[in-house]
Amino acid sequence: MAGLILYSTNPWIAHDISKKYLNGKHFVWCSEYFDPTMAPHGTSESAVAPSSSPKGIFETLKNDCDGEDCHSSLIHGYKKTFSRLSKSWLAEGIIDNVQYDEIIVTVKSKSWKIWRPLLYLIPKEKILASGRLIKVPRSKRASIGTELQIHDLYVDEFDFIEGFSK
Amino acid sequence: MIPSLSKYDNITAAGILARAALSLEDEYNPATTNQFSDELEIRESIIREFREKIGINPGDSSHDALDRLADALDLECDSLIEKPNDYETLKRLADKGELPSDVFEISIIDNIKIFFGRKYDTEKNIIEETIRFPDREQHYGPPSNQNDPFLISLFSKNFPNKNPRNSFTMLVAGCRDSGVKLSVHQAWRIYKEKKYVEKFANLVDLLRNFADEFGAEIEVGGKRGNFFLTTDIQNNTPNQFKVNFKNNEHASRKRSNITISHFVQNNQGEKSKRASLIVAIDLIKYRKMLKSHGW
Repeated sequence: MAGLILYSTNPWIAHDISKKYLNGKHFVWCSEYFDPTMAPHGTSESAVAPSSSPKGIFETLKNDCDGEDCHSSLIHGYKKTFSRLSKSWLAEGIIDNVQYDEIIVTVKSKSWKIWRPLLYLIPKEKILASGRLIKVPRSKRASIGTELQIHDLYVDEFDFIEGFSK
Repeated sequence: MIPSLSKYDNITAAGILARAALSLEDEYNPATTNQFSDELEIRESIIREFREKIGINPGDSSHDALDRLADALDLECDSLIEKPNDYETLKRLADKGELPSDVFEISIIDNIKIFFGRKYDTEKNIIEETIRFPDREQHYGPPSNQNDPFLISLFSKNFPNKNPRNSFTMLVAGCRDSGVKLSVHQAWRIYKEKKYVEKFANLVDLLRNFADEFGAEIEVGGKRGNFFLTTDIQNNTPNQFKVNFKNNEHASRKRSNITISHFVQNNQGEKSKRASLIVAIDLIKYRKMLKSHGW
């Protein structure tokens, strides 16, 4: 049975950028289950693809960081996303040139620790009550399993667990 | 610039291209929201143009095709925005204490090498691991407050051992006054059995506690103590830190090898200098403790 918490895994840098440059506003994909394979058999929650599972993403990021895997497709994808986002934020005036440079250079730096996974634990009630939990249409999901988004999650609305073995 | 974007300045055009690339990656990302009334039409036109340019069929929405398209948009976008100066940006982040610590170029002062001797390589690995992947870190930014050190970073990391008595916390302090270089001046093993390891608010506190245990009383500018966070010192004045042997029961002149460790930095716009994190450690006592833990 789905509980009171929503789960979302993100690299540490996503949290850092949101805190430093976006007034603490986070955009997250989330799930009712940390490990969707533990959801009741036959439910849409149990059908979440491994690539969208908070547990799957957490383990992949953790392994890629611990192993300093230069071929990590997940980290490679995040690098592209943050590069695109920072250009869009610069054009919209959300960040200035100095902040743009800082994001681009940090994301492209040799740091591994910035990609370490954070598991966000998001109390569901407040997000549901404010109508901010968005169900992603099937065409945009990795599988038939339910995937959710929150477009404006603030730092005081969740806690996180950090994963890094080193 | 591609024709569809010719009416925009470079930054605005880059934003449109970036949002187009993001929309190919995840059209439900709120960052893809159009900023202009005609942006969706422009986006579609750009994507059509790029499909043709790199030879992707209009109906091909495979992951690989969209990825290639987004990459092509990125290239165009990068050509519109000035590239950051990597070194200056990293240096600025380092000055603010915001550089990821695994990016630092680490150097370790000779005193530490000399102390550890043939065991230095092991200790060097531990010091570097502590900096790159610390459990805790504390950074002092550029000079602002006269009572605070500046451009100094402290890191700690626990190193468990199968014999719990030999588990320790490595405490490292270094200064960041030369770009992305971190010059390590202090590295102390602090064993878990010591009570003060459990109670400390921050890493400076931990260093202060360590100095209380292994330090000798020193006199700095007329003040006595085991630890000084920061103090101004005069240029070219020798012996500004004096060990007070009278008050050090364990540190007689004959049986001790007291090292005074500190960071000396130029005060901005002044002739004086500032010394920070000043500790006087009895190295004989410290070495004896290390050996008792199987070092």
